Amino acid sequence: MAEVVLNHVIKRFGNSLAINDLNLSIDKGELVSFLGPSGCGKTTTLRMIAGFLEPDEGDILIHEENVTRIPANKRDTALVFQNYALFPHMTIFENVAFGLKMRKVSKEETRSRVLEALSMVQLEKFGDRYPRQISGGQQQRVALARALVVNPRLLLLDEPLSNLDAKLRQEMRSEIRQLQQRLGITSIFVTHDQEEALVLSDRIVVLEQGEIRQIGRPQEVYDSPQSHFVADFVGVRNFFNGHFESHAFITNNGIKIFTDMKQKSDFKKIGIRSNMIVVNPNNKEMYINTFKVKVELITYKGTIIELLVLFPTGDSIVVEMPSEQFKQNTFSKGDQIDICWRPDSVLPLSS
Amino acid sequence: MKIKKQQNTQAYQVGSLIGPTTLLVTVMFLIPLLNFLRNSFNVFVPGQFMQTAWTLENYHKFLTDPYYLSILGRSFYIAFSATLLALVMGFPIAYFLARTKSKWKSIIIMLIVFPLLVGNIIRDVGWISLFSGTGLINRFLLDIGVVQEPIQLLQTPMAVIIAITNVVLPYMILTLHSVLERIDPALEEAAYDLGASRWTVMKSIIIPLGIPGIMAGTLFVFVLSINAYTTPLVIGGSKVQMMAPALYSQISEVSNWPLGAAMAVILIVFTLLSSTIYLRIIERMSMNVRAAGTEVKG
Ligand SMILES: Nc1ncnc2c1ncn2[C@@H]1O[C@H](COP(=O)(O)OP(=O)(O)OP(=O)(O)O)[C@@H](O)[C@H]1O
Ligand SMILES: [Mg+2]
Repeated sequence: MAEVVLNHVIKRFGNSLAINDLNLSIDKGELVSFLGPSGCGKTTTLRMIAGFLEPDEGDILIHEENVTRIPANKRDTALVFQNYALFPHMTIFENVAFGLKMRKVSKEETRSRVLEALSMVQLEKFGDRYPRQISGGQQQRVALARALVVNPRLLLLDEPLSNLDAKLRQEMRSEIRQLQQRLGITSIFVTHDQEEALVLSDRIVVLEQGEIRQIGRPQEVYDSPQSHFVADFVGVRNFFNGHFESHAFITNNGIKIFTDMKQKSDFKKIGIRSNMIVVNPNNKEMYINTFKVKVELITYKGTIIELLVLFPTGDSIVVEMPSEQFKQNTFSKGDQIDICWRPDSVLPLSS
Repeated sequence: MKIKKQQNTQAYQVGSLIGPTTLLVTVMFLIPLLNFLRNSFNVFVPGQFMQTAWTLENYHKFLTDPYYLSILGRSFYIAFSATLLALVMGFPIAYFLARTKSKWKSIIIMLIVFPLLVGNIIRDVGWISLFSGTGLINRFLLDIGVVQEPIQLLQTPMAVIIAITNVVLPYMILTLHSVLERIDPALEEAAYDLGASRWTVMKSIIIPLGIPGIMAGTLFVFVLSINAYTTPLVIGGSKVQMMAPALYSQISEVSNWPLGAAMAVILIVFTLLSSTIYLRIIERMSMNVRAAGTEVKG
């Protein structure tokens, strides 16, 4: 049974269409990420669900109740803000207690629930401090505790980790996920970081220009992006335009790439992940897609080496190879190498 | 340690808001002030300029004569009322300005500042045409038959309070605006999202975080009001006397320099004293808020 339903939701700002006919249903206990580039409408959608914005058309249902016209302070949702929005003139304890105070919860119950929420995020000792007296990561946790303490039906997070450094971001990521699963709370997580979305989500909703481009489990979205846009967003870097001739794809420059396409199709574009391309394999006869290319650029990236290679046709693509392999198999800029990939690595894409 | 630093930051914030005015007032007052201070101990001899002396007679005269004391009391009452009125009227306007995304915002700010470009005397003449016996208000009241003959509006404390409020309101709005604008709107949304009503958001978020602005604005406006000259003179006349015109008339009309000087010193000391007491009270009241500072993350 769906806990959150967006039904033909449309939102305009003046003449511009921010959200165009959004349909989505989220199950109870599910964590769904909204993934997309800046300006695609993630925040707008989240704010409509939270009750800060009213859709121009369509309905929003939470727990089968139509909340479209219900204001934010009457909705059973809790929003975690990107900049945390902790009240600077209140202690951590008072911050977390705020929502309970609004719900007129008794003093004793407030106390025990706040302490419980603070211990949930390992901050039980910090109740007396003010927000500016704790670190960014701790503030993030307080924001989380403040939202969770009211037992909302729906937890909304708008890029909650974007102000943290990389290491802390990873820690918080798994902390949020564990907490969310333990509490079984239905959640929407806004991010423009594909890795974050892949790690955290039950399902990912990829948005572009106010429209849903793809919905799926992380693996689905990663392994089979359906369009150039989604593929690009989940890290596919090599694209060819052309057409299919039975199961082979002929690029506009005449490169023939074999795919595992079974029936005739009219996709005009394919994508290939850089890490699915093999360099100078011993058994290159095994690959039907083998090409001689010239190395244009070698970039060291720690565990991997990134190569920019040039086809005789002038097309260039990016290839990743493990650094270890590069050490045993040295070549340098300007050399000819063989690159190969399997037919099933080819991603047919709509544009 | 951190709290201490925060308090300093806040003190600095308030300071930077009223600092420039204070400095200007200080420099412009310092030299005449010393001069006044000396003169206030001299003796007034009718017909002569004054006689050099060291006497407290002038202070004694002022502080024991109910007539003079009532001028001081009235000055305080009118300045206090005008300040309160300016706060009550200015806060919603300043808040609206701080939050509006309207393209009219700069025009509204210009409209607010515009009266400052028109001299006090011109505005006071405007008020006269509104308040006088044959003014707009009385004519209207007579026309609709609420009153049979013109009511006294000019030369009432009420008229002076209204006219002074009109003068100081722009300062109040601009001072409040600069502080309210710095409060992150996300804080209001967070409170609202957690179930607070609009009023609760105002009461528990905006007002506490706006206290530095309220402090600076009210203090600034109070000092301006209690020192008002043109408005009480033109609107209040002889019936609603305030300190500045009264002390000036001592000097210019009666040529009683020593008493005028003593009144000036009393006015200054009184202003400083009431400001200090006021700040202490606010400080007491908002201990929490001061400790927390008004730093807005984001
Ligand atoms: N209040 C507003 N008035 C006018 N246009 C707006 C308003 N809020 C958002 N928009 C527009 O709507 C579109 C979607 O904005 P939104 O904030 O939802 O993007 P986002 O996906 O959250 O982007 P980001 O990753 O940068 O936060 C943008 O083109 C934005 O300019
Ligand atoms: Mg956003």
